[in-house]
Amino acid sequence: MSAPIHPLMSRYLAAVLSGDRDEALRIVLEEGFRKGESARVLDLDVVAATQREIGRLWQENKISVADEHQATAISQIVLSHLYPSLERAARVHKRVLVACVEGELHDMAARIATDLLDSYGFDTTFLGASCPTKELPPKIRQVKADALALSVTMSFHVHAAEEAVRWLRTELPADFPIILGGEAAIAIPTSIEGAIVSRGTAADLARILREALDVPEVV
Amino acid sequence: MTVAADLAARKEAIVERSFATMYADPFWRERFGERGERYTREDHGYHVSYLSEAVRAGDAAVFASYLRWLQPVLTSRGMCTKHLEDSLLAVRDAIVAEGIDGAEIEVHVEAARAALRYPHGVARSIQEAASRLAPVITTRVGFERTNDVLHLLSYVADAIALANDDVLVRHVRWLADRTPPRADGALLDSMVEASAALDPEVAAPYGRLIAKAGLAIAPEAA
Repeated sequence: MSAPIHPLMSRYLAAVLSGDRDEALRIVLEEGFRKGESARVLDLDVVAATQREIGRLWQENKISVADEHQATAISQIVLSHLYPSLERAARVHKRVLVACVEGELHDMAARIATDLLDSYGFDTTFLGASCPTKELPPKIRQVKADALALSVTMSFHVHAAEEAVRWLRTELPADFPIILGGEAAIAIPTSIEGAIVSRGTAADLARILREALDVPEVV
Repeated sequence: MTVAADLAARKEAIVERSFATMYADPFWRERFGERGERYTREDHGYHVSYLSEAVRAGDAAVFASYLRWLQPVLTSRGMCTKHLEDSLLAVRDAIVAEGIDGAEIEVHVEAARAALRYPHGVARSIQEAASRLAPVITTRVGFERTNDVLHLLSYVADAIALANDDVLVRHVRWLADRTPPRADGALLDSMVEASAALDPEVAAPYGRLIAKAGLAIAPEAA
């Protein structure tokens, strides 16, 4: 999937790699909004696209793990600043709990998906990286979630995700939707019992949730 | 037990066996040191985990995309694609030696080997030509050097794919620093001569790279 490169991306990349928080914020919040970009586009085509590029640069030994963590920390700040400006679709009055499967430390994709689900009209609760599976059912009851989205980015956590689904199925009502998504979703059989697999972006996740929760699409 | 469960349950044994097979050749310890030993064990563990997920998912794209992801990680850090393939095959052989049914994993291993071929361009052409070039070169420099030559050709393809000449230069330097030297002007000359078998648009970047490596080990450069 190669989307056209957003014109702000190369400077945003340079800013996060040089550790310049102020510049990164300025590029996205001042220039981005001045150019009339939506927060959704800035989330996906600037921040998320840059994080993907950061991963590629680490792969090719052009940046270190520390550089990667520095960039990610800055992008987390930028995402929090974009969050209040995200366009809000009409509320569908359904709450989605988003968590990373136990052991999964990469929470950026789940975080972006959470922010976008919010933007698409869902109420959301985000639990960040690696959440102990046994903590999920009480949390679901506490926040009165209508669905659970579990993120798996590394395929060697897929097995843990399937185990989690098996156990959660014994704890949650039979019709409570559990969705598995993330980079590693390709390694999850679509036929997995007790969960729906989302192999696309946040928009695909939203479509699956609307179908599972029987809510109409609102733009 | 399913093959996937077998793989997961015997991961440690597979890792140790494949590690022992590979490290029976002193090359690996000499070239990559203690750090290499640690990473080899770690990577072989990942190979087994991903292979197990791939078998469970019944999807050859799983293991192939993992290796395609790993390839630039390792080739930009001193290994060549051929070394990665060597390690993959060591793991495959260890799985079979552990008595796990090899038929089911073979499709995933083959998909992964195909994924290590560059999709197009000069790097791909050199990978495809390597098995033709190697005998031409070893006729000159001795058949006992077949492995070194195949690895050098793999470094050439990787250097071109990564647009990073150092990838090849560093390995040639290392070979030249052995006692007795395992790379010298004569070997590199034979590699260049063999390029007569390549298309001109492949031979040109190939020749330029090897010339650069030659300069790096020329006596006056030391």
